Amino acid sequence: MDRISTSEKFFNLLKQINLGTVIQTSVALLVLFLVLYPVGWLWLGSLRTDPFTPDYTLTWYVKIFTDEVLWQRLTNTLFITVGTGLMCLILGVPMAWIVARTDTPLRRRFELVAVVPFMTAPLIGAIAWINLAAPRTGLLNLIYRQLFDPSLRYGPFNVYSLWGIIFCLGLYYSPYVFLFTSGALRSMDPALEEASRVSGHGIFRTSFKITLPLVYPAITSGVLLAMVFAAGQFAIPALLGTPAQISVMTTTIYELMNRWPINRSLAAAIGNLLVFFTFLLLYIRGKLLARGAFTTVTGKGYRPDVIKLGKWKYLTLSICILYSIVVFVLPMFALAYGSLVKFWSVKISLSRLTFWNYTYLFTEHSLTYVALKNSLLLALFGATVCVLISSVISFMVHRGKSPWRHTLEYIAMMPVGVPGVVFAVGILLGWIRPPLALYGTLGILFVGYISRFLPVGVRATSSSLVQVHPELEESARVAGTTWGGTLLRITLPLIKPGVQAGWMTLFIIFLREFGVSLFLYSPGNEVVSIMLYEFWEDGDMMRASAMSMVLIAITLISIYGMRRLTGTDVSSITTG
Amino acid sequence: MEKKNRGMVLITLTVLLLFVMLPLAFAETTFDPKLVEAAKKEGKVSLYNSGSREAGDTLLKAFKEKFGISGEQYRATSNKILTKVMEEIKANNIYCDVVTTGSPNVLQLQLKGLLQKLNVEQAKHYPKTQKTDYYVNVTGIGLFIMYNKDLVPENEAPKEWKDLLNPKWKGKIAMPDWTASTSPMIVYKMLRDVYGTEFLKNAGEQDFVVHKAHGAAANAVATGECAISFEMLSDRIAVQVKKGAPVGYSVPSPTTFNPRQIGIPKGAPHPNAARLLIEFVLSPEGQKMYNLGYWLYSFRPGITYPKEMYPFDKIKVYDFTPEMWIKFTEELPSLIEEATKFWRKK
Repeated sequence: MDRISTSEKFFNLLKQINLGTVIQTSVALLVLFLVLYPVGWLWLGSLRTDPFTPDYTLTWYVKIFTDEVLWQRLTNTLFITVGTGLMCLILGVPMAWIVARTDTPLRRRFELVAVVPFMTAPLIGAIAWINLAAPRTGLLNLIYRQLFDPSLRYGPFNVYSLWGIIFCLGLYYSPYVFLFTSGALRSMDPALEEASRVSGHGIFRTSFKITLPLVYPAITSGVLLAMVFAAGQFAIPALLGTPAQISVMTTTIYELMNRWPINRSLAAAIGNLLVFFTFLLLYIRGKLLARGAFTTVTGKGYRPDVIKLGKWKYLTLSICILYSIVVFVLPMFALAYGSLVKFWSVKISLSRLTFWNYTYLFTEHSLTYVALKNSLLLALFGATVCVLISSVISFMVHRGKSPWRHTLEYIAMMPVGVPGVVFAVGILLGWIRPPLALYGTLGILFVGYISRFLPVGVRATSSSLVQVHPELEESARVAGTTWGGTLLRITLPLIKPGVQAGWMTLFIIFLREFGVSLFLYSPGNEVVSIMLYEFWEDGDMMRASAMSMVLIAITLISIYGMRRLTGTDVSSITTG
Repeated sequence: MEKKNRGMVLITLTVLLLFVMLPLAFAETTFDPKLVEAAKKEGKVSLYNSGSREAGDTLLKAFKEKFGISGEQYRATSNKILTKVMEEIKANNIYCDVVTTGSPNVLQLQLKGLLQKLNVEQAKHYPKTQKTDYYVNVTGIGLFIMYNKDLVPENEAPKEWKDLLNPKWKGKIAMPDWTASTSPMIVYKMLRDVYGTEFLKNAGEQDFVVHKAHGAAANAVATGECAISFEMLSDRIAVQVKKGAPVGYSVPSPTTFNPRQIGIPKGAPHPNAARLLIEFVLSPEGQKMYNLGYWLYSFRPGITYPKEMYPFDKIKVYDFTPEMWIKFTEELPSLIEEATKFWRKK
């Protein structure tokens, strides 16, 4: 009797297992594995004398706080992170206010300029700013000295400094503050502002005393997110910090993994400390958002008045033009000029312009086609797979009933706080040895990209899914449509814009990805960012500039093509 | 014999000798057909190279043309290559077939028992001091001082190592990252032996502008970002000169070579192709192609250098004996630590 009941139970269980359950369970297990496996290796590695030797110790954590050099690098990281936060605040908030709330001419155009850094990459930004503000030969310095002080042989701008690093990071990450703040400014309740104005307070007093305090959670949220990314940035501190002997935690991790004698355990320990720091920032951000401080920014669809600035609009217009020049015009010009000269010189002359670097790239350099092919392959397939996995996760989280769904979401979003170079260390430790020896193949980059940027896909698909009421899906299920059919015929078409924007964002990120690639590439698997880094390492800034221009061109063509095909808006594309 | 007849006989003999010698001089090196066959069966070779990508590409292209075997190149700094090869061997996931880096990194691999015996015919033509059973010094990289001619007139350019300590160069000296490349540490060791540690400590007062690798440091001098270099590899100087950059160089006395070593890691996936590539690069044909076009010196006797290269025999070399290289390898971590103490920005 017992035996029959057991087999009945088993049969019933089998009946419950349909394709949907299989897919959902497989994706959930895959996500757990993709994210937790490298993170686990990071922890394990940091607690062992050597990651692959079962000999446990806390030495490496003690060393971080007792070694004078490491302590200095830790303080550099903190200084740069806080400095970047302030820089983003200074750049992002006024621009957001001007664009979102005032009648400044051409403000919609400037909104596009403000998100330009998303379209390029920190590595390219650093190359551009070396061309512009290297203390002796930077274009800005050369022009300044020729115009104002020919006796000066150095400066006045110096990108090889802590301030130079903060400036570049600030330019790159200020769009986060801009987007968060402008969004909040557009949807806030204007009642308090109106009351202030009725009480006789002017535009600027009202803005400082009423408007900005009302949207401060959005500002803080953007600033904290910018700080999280700045703390984990590698390219900008590596390129700008090396000549001035400035090291931060991420560049130290790279050094420890590539310098003899290698110390992977210390690298893992520093990585974990960095992860702790970024998660702390994210926790503070989460607390702020959860406090409900956005009560003046409700879902009621307020449309605050556009503030008429009168003659002041020319001042705000000038600020926008200056911002555009610094963020877009100057870096693009520096890259274009650099790509068109054979070698950089203190003597600027148009007669030296040549396509020599481009000719070299496409006719002689052995890596160009390999790197372009690999980057495009990873971007196309990586983005597609990542978006598919993300869609299933979002569906499970927002439509599922499993008590574990929020844990799954938390794990999928975890890599947001794990800097690329740190995550890459975990992946390298986990995937270099048999039976999971993917190292030496393009597959390890594929796995690395998907695991690291899963949060971008999940965020894009989730934000679309929460806007769609589940009624339609429920109706389909009641009508007998299977889980897969509902997902394919109802849910995915409804969240199509979010999926498209997510795919495009991931495509752009993968096309220029650097932090993960630097640790995981091997011969034959080079990607475009590795070529750029190699050029920089060789001091070949002209070819680096030319390759940067090629990458920017591919990105812009892709965005244009995607927009034509699907109507995806550029402003919906944001990086993770 | 009459004087006139004697002259005729001498001329005839010389002409005959030339006829005999000329084909020998132009004769191509023959390679073991069995090795060629086995290498072709493997079909590919992977080269880990700390030299310039161009030099590596030139070598692999010529190798493919000659033997039909395609090659892939991984290019990075010496220390990065060392760690990558060790990582691959440790994980038993080896991709590298041929490793060539500045000294003493390939020697380090040998001392750790991570190289296989070379057994290449062409190694027999190299002096005993330039090889072991496991590697051969494929190239001698000249370690010179480079300067920007627009910023530094030739008569004011530093000629000797001690000239680098002149306060007028403070903040203007490009220095390759001594923790990433081996050449700065070879010069460090030489100067330590010749001038003592005080000299190196004083050098730290010059506030070096550090660049990740020699290429970047050379570029800093070529563009005028820095006026001079601390030490510069002869091939990096060649790259800038060929581009038309305003650079000059001095050859201090003494200076030394950084011998670029070449070997095959244990467990290399294409050992025959690796061996054939090494035979090829060590041959006179390979040496001319791999070295001379890039202002690199060859340890193979009988190589004629082009005129634009600084004459090999005029370089006063501070010789590192094989024993000194082994000692240097052992001392390297502590030397790097000492250099960092002296040279890190205060």
